[in-house]
Amino acid sequence: MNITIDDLTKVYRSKFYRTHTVALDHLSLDIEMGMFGLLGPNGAGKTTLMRVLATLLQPTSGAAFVGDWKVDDRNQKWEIRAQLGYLPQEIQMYDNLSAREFLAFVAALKCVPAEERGRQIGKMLELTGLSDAAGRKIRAYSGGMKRRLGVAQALIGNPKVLIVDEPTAGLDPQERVRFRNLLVELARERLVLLSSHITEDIAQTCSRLAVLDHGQLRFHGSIQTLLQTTAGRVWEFTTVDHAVQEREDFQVVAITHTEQGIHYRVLAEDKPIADAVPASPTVEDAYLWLIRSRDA
Amino acid sequence: MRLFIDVTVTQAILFARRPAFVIYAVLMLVLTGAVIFTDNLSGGSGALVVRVSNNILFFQLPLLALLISPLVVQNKGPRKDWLWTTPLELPLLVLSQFVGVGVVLCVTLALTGFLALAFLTIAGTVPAGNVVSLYGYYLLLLLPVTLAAAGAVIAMALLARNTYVVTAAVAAVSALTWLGLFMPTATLLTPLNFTLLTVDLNPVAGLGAERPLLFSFLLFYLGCIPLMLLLAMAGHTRLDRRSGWSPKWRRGFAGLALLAVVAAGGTWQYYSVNAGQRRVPPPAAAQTDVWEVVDVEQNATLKRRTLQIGTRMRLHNRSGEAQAMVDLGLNPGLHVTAASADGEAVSSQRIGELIRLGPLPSTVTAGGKIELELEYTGVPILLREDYQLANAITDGDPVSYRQGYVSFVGGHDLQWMRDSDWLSWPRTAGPHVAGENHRLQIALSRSDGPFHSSSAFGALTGDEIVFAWDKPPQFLVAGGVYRHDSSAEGDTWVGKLSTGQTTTTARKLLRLRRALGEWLEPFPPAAYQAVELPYVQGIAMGGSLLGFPNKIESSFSYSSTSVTVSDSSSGAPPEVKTVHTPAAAAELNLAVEVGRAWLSDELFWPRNELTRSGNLRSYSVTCDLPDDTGNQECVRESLGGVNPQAPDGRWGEESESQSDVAPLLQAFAVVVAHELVLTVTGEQTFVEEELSKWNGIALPDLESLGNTSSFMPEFLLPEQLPIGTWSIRRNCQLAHFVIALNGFKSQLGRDALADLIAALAQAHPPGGDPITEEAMRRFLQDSFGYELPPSEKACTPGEARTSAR
Repeated sequence: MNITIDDLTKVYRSKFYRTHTVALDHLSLDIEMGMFGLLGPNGAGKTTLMRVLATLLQPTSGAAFVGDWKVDDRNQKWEIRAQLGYLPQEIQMYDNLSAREFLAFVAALKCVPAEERGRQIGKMLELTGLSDAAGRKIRAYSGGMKRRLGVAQALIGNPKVLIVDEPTAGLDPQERVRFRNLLVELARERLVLLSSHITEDIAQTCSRLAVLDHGQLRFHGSIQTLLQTTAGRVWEFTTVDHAVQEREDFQVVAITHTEQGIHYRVLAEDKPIADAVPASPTVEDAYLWLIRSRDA
Repeated sequence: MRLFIDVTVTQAILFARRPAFVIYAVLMLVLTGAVIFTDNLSGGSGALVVRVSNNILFFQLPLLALLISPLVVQNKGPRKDWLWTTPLELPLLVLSQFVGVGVVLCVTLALTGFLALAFLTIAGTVPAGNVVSLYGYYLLLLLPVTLAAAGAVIAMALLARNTYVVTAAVAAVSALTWLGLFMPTATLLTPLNFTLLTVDLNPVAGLGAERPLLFSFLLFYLGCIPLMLLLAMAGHTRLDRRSGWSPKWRRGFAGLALLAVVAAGGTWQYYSVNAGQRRVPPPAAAQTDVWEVVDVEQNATLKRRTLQIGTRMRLHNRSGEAQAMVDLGLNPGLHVTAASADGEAVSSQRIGELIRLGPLPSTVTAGGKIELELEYTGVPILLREDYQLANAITDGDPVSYRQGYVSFVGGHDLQWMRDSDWLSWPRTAGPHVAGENHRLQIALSRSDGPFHSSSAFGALTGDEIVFAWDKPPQFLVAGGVYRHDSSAEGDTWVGKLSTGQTTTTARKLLRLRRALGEWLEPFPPAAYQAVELPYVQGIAMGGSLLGFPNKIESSFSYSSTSVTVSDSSSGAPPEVKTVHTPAAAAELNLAVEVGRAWLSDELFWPRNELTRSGNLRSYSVTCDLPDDTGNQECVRESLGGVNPQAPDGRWGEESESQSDVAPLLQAFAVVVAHELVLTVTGEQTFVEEELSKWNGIALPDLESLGNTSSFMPEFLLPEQLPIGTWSIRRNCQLAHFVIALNGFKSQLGRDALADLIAALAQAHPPGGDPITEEAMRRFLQDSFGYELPPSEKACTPGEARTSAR
């Protein structure tokens, strides 16, 4: 199942303040089955895009399709919901239910056959490592456990499209790795749309991604293509000159204090200093380069 | 369906696991306990159930808002996006929430009621046999309104999407209604309304006459729920675009919406019809005491609650003016099928509680006579005002006139009185007895029995039992599911929901009735029966049969009361004294009632005059003392607007109090009651104390003959007033008669008093001429040589008419 976005615009209007904010600006994008990353700074429009695709928001103009179904069509959105698993950026579940009860409720909502429910719930609890705590009330869960339970609810019903918005926020490194692996595993059979600030998550899981900034598409393609956009523009050098940081012809990506001085990793069109040596670009470098070039 | 059940179960769990719900359940239990422990059980266990239900309904409303709205509101906001990306449709969620909440609330309240009734049964307050019935009534009164309240809160929460707003709005409406700001016009919208507050769960008839109004009212509440929820859902989908429902169901929901509109509209219409039928018709100009019934023959048949009556009566025009038409009182539920005057058909027209026959074939001249034949049929409607004792939620009861006697027929219950409006009769303040021949025959289906009748015999014809009377007494027939008890005093028949206290009261009444019969009746019956009646205000007599209301003992105003005594001159703080009436006083109270009922049935006493003004039920009239010319100023105060539960008004007697009968009758009743108490209990000292109290009222007046400023009786403290006095007026005249009659009895003996009553009964029977003070004075002087001073000399005319409320 694919997602097709065609010239999609979403404008938030406030009648009270008489303002309008363009959250998505004539966005066009094709997302195929597998793992797809959505990268962008805060306010880039990632969550808006995901909520539009999840049939929660009406686009202002343009169109978006999940499979063959149009997201803002009154009839077709129900077909999309039947195929959808969604994990919002912030999730609040029913705290007075246990995890097992909650998942049973979600399974009922997603019309999972009664004979299938127990097996699916058990599988999801195991997958998310919540089997031991399945009988506890959700209000007693830690933030990480709630996040995992959120993923479990999204996966109930074996959805063909899984939309996860900042799923690793608040997770410890071990849980993050575990979670990323889980998503990759799930993406073998479905389309997984992963939104994140954390480039590492995208780099480790997605073969294709899109970068959004201020509602506009800055990049769409594979990781390799993204890395190529920064090839020859990543430099590393060590210097004792603090004034280097004030230069505007490059962007500092990382600073490390060493015995020899300060080690810099920077993005620049040209070699910033004589001692600089080129370095292999990372997704983070590429992402920052994309954002920087827009600002420039 | 499976999805609906799953979602409903989850919603019920979510609701029941809220800490606020536990608090609610505990509060309801505490509230129920508080009502039970503080209730004085007046009106029996049925009234207790009504009071418990009313308290729960009122106090739970703000709690329900606080409890339910978070369940609905919690699904708003992006953090609940996971819910709205499932195929869940809003109508299913809302319906599940309503059903889940409703089930939990119903179970909670059912358990609370069960515990309360179990406690009452163990404590012996409620007989075990009544528990099931009372529990059923408790659930009936409580659950529909609770469900409606839950539906309303869910609807408000869907629209307001804020718990605090919903709670504040509901609490504000409740508080303002309770404070009286919305009373009574908006009370239909809250559980605090007249229909529920004043519902009479009768020990004999159960819901009885309340059934049509109450059922339609509760049905209306239930009928509103679908519409409220659907409208709220429609509003909610506009406020929150995430929610909605699938178009494939849209047609179905459109059908549901239509059904909801029909349900709400239909139930409202049904309620309106029932409320309208139970409104007292507006006063109409009519003939009052114009016609005297000379002869009458009435044949009534009651089959499956439908009445068929044929009447032939000869009327005498005693108005002094020619009459071209005849007005007869007839229950609004009955309609005339045929009418003729002097053998010629005449048209009939319904005017409120009357039917107007005419124009007559020929005008009836003053003193002329006319013969009417009338057939009518229908299901009589008992107007709520006629049997409802509690008129308002305030202490000051608004003016509310009723018919003196009403008849009633329910599913299994029957109460038939002579002077009720089932039997058409010219508008008169007197008893409905013809001057010459009066024959009444009532045929009842035997399968509806058994019946208790004052008729000497009941002829059996097929499935029918026919009772017949010549010069019928007030109390004709009763039927119903009774608990029978036999004792030395006679048979008692008390209602299925009555307590043992009622049986005790019935035995006391029988004892008094037997004593009265053996003293005043030449051929006293061998056996007496006391039957509890659902809708009478006082005792009604018919031969050996005595009918009494459940509330008879609790209606005595001085049986146990607290009074505040303050001495303004000393500046001391007011002192609160509790006056406890001894058992003999309770016996005397009953004896006065028995005596008055018997005397009313045997003699024609002058009654208060009928007026044409009528009064609004929700108005109170306060009058100043009259001036020297007898004029007085009256102020009419509104206790609220008119609504379907506060009827417009009815023809009323000039008197302000229903129990305010002629002083002469009351004086006879008091003197007879003293003698009965002496016979039954032997409480000589108590009776002498009572007499000294009467002297205390009368003597200052007797000593100041002609002194117009003697209003001492108005200001006597309750413990200084003898039993039988009226709380508001005319005590001076009454005391004068009591002292005089007691003097007569002291001088000539109790047998002479019996002779006097027998002679008066012969001279002034019901249907004859009413007895007057002047006639009695002459009679006492001529027959017994006893001088009765005129009451005008003992009391001022103004005092006799003072209406000080």
